Amino acid sequence: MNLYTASSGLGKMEQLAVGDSPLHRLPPMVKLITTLVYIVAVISFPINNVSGLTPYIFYPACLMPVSGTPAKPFFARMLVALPFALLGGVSNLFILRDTAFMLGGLAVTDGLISFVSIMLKMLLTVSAVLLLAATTPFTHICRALSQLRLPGVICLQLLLTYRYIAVLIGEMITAVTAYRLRSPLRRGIHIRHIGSFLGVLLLRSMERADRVYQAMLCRGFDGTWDWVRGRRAGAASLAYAAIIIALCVLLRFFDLSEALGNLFVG
Amino acid sequence: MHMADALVSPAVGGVMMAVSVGAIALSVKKMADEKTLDEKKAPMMGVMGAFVFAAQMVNIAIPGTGSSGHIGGGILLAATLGKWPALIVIASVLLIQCLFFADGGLLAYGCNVFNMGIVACLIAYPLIFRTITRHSMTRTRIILASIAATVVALQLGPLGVVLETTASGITKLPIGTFALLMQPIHLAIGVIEGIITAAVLVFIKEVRPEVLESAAGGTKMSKGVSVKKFVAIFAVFAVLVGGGLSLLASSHPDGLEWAIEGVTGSTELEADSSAHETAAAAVDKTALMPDYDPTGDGKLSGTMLAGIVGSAFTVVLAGGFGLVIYLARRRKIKAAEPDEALVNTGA
Repeated sequence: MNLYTASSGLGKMEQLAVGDSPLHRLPPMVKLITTLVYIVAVISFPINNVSGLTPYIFYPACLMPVSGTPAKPFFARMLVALPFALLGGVSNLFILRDTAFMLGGLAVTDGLISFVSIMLKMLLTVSAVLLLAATTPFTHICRALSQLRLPGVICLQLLLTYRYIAVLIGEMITAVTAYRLRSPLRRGIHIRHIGSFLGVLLLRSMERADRVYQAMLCRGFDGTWDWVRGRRAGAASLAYAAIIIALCVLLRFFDLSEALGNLFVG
Repeated sequence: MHMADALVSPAVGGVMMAVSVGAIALSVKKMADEKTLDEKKAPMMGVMGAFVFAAQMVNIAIPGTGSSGHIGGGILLAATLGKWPALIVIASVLLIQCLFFADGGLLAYGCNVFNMGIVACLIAYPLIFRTITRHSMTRTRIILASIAATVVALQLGPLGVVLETTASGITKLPIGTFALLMQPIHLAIGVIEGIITAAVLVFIKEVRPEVLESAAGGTKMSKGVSVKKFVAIFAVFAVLVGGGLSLLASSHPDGLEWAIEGVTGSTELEADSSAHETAAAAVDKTALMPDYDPTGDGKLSGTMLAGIVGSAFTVVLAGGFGLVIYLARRRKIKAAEPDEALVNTGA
C-alpha cells in the first residue's frame, strides 16, 4: 500500500458507504453485530472442515450484489490479507501429508483440506469486513461503538484520525513529490534526510492539531459528545439480524453441503 | 505483522481482545487520573493518528541494500505523546486499517493491538526508552534508546504473532520454525525502524525539545501505580495463553466444538498434542458432524463424496444467487437511468 492507493482506496470506500441499498439502510449496530457473529462462526470451524464452511459463501455472494459492492476493492483487500494466510496454509500443505481420501486418481491430503479451509476462511472474513465498511459510514460505526459503551475519548479519537488521514496523506504526498523533484534519481526518501523530513511533518501536524482545537473551541466544543439520533432498529432490521445470526449458528452445526450432496449421491 | 482472521481461533481472538480492550480502558483511566485528558489532547491524538497512518506509507531508501524501510510509529508516538495516549492512537489506526484496508482482521484486532500497540507503548517504551533517557535526554541517549526500544518492540511483537498463531492451532507450522522465520527478519526491520525513529526524535529534540519533555513528564507521574496493574495484566495473559489456551488449541483444534461436546457428552476426545494426532483425531472424532472417512483407509467413502459434491453444489448455488441479484439490480439501475437523464435535460 502506498500513499496514492491508500488515498484513493479510502475515498472509494467512503463513496460506497454513503450509497443506498437495503444493506446501507440497516442500523449500524445490526451490521456490526451480525458481522462479528458471522466471523466468529466462520473461524470457529476446525481446519479439516471445508464442506461445512461452503454454505457461508451465501453471505457475501448475496449481500455484495444487494449492496452494490463492486468486486475490485474486494480483490485488493484479499491481496493485503493473503501473505499471512498463505504462510499458514502452505505450511500445512507440507506438514499434514497424510492422505485423507482419494479423489479420482488424486490423493487429497489433510494439508490440502486445511489449505482450502484457510483460504476459504480468509475469503469469507475479509468479505464480511468489507461489506460492513462499504455499507456503513465510519461515523455510524463509531456511533454504534459508542452505544456499546466505548468511551467518548476513543470515539473522538477514531473520528478525528479518520477525518485527518485524507488531509495528512495529501500533505505527505506533497512533501514526497517536492523531495522527488529535488532528488529525481532516488526511489524513496534517503535515510539521512528522514529525520527532518518526517520531523517537520510531525511538528506541522501537531501545530495543525492546535489550530483544529482552536477552531473546535470557536464552534462550542467542550469535550462532550452528542450524536444525532440514528435510525431505530425497526422490525425489518431485527428480522435481518435474527435470520443472519440463526443461520450462522445453524450452519455451524448442520452441514448443508453434505446434506445436499447426499441428495445427489444417495 | 498484521494478523488476519483466517489463522486465529475464536478463543485466542477473544482472549486477546479482552486483554487489549482492558489495556485501552486502562489508558483512558490513566489519562483521566493524570489530568492529561483535557479536551486539547483529543485533536492532538487524532491528528497524530492520521500522521502515523500516512507516515507508515513513506518509502525510505536504505543505502547499499536497494530495499526500502518504513516507520512503525509505536515508539515515536509514545515519545511524543506519552505512553497512554500513544496506545489509544495506535489502536485507532489499527481499527481503521482493519476496516478499510483488510490490514488485520476484526476478530484478530485484539491480537494486533497487543502485538503492535501494547508491546511498543506499554512495554518497550517505559522499560527501555524511558530507562535510558530518564536522567538526561541527550542526542546519544535518544539514538540509543530509540534503537533499543524499537528492536525490543519488534522482537516481542512478532513473538506475540508466533504464540497467538500457534495457540490458535490453525496452521501446523511448528513454533520453532515459525519463530525462526519471524524473529531474524524483524531484528533487521527493528534496527532500521529504530534508526528512523531516532532520526525523527533527534530532529524534534533540536527544534522543539519541549515536545519530548512534556511526553516524558506524563510518564513520570504515573509510574508508581501503573507498573503493578501492568504486571497483573500480563500475568493473566501469560497464564491464559501459555497454559490453558495452547493446551486447548493443540488437543482440540476447535474449542467451540470441544466445549459443546463437553456439555452434551456425546463424544470422547483423545488428548494428544502432536500435529498429526490432532488432525487425525479431529477428522474422526467429531461426532456432531462426521466430516470424513473415520476408518482412514484412503477410500472415498459416501460421506466424503457427499461432502465434496455438496460443497461444489453449494458454491455454484451461492454464486448463482449472487449473479441473479447482481443482474436484477443492474437492470433496475439501468431502468432508472433514462428517467434521471430526462430530469437533467428538463432542468
